[in-house]
Amino acid sequence: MLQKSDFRRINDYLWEIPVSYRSDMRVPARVYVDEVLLEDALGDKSLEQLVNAATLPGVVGATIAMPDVHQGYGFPVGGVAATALPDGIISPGAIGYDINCGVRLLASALDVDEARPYLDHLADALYRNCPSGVGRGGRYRLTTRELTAVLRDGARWCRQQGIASDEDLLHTEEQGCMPNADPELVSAQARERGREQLGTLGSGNHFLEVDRITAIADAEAAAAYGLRLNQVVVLIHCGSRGLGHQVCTDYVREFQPVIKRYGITLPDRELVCAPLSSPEGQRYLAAMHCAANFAFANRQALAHQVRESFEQVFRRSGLPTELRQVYDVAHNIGKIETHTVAGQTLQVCVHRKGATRAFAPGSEQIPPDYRAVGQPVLVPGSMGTASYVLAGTAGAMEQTFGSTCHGAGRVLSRTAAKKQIHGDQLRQQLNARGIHVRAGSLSGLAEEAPFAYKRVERVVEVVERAGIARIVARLEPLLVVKG
Amino acid sequence: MQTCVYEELGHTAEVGMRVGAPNAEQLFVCAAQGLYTLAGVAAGEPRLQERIMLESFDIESLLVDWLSELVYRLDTVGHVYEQISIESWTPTRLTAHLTGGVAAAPPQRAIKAVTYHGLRVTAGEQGWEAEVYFDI
Repeated sequence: MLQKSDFRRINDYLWEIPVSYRSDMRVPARVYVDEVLLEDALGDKSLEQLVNAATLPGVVGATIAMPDVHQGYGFPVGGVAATALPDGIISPGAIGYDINCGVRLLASALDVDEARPYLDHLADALYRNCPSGVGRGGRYRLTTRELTAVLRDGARWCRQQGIASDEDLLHTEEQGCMPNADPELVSAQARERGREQLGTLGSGNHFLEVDRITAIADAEAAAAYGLRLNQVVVLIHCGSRGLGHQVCTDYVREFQPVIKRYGITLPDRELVCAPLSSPEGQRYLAAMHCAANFAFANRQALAHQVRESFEQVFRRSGLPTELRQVYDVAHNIGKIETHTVAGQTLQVCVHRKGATRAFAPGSEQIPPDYRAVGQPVLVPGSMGTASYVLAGTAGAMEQTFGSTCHGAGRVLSRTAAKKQIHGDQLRQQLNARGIHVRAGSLSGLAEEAPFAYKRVERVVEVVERAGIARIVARLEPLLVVKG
Repeated sequence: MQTCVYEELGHTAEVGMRVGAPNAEQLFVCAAQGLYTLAGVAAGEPRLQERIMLESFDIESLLVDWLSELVYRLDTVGHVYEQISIESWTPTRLTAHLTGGVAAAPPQRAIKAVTYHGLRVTAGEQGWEAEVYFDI
């Protein structure tokens, strides 16, 4: 069991577990936390999982935990690990079951005072138009040919359908389409799970939120992103639904006997992996990209349904209805990127599981209109608390493979959260604070109670002080739709 | 036949279960019941009779594959199986006959996937026991 004495304190916001901690570690494990968040992280198995990830073949630099880190399966949520090409490994468990779970931010032209009288109506329209919860299918029933196109083209497929603009694609990570996606490598079971789920939120921690901007911390970046005080904005948090879950399931299964073939020993079977250069590794990479494309298309379809809802509610009042896409980021993904490690330029596969890409100003990988200020980073809170827009920094490129935190991070299990509050009681509490809630399941709502999460303010303060992201704007919820 | 022993296991983000049964075949039946308990779902109409055949890498993988197959069927066609009989079993192969129906109502909780994290299948004098965690 890890203890505080096992760490080397590098500075107030960065702690390291050296390779001497365990004989099978190939690199150190680094944790971005303050003392309070370090205690939180030591409360579960997340940092042991980070040490386990430091044993993976080909891992370089350090394995990294963000301040929102918490226990996952095999690999911690809020974890980053980079493996060097060509023979470093790729691990489905280190990317997660919900491949390309991520967040999209849309900005309206409305001020909060203009929107406030219509929020109840808007909540109904969003709940009606954006299917959420378990077992609710979407409006799209994709044919085999259409699903193949979605897997190959991601959000570009949505543009062909007239539900995405060029600006939407430009303002999406990877422009909404991962390269070299091969739909042939996605199983029939995975396809079946995704066929009716495009344009649906799902359940668990996924949500759709209408927020108001309550503070601007970086005026230049906010202006570049088109954000201003009291503006109404929308956050959409969801992923690749059953399709992505099945792709991960399929390859975790397929890889179980593979490790023996490549002489890999693992401390946790969920970390199962294959060398990137191997046929198995290449197959998973191409299938994972398909699931990532499905998620980009899913958030795009949801964004379209949100735009329809704004039309239905605000058009008759003569208020502006347009929603401009600020950005869309992946929180669970593996990306082939070039980074400098110990002075050497390396091509690596960056596994981000519950972590956000946070590329610095000047990066050619981010949209030209944001290049001067850095990539937008979207950090959703937990219904009753704030969310944040941050910007990527040079510090992230130097320290964390261009990565930063992704959310508040859980501290309580779902069972513990439900013991403390009933869903209806939580809904009343949120309503009393002026937050309109629509939820498919009251027990699911209770599981996601704000007190089950770390204080998001503390999380973003750590990443800013550590220099791996910069705070741009603070958002507070007006309306929440939960599965 | 002795009834199943079932316990929900805490996890910061996900959810797990411990199940116990008098023998290996019954362990797979109990694990299925545990899955449906965690999902909060029960069978409705129409009645269905189906057969599942699986072949896996080892006994732990067989349990993951078994539960993953049930998750897939629940997610796509809403099937829930109340009566399961294991027709044949080895540590790497299983054939089961299932009777159930389409879920009477949507599950209370979506089970995304069955993980290998903390996975354990053991046999002792008291019977068989398994621990398994789900991504939710």
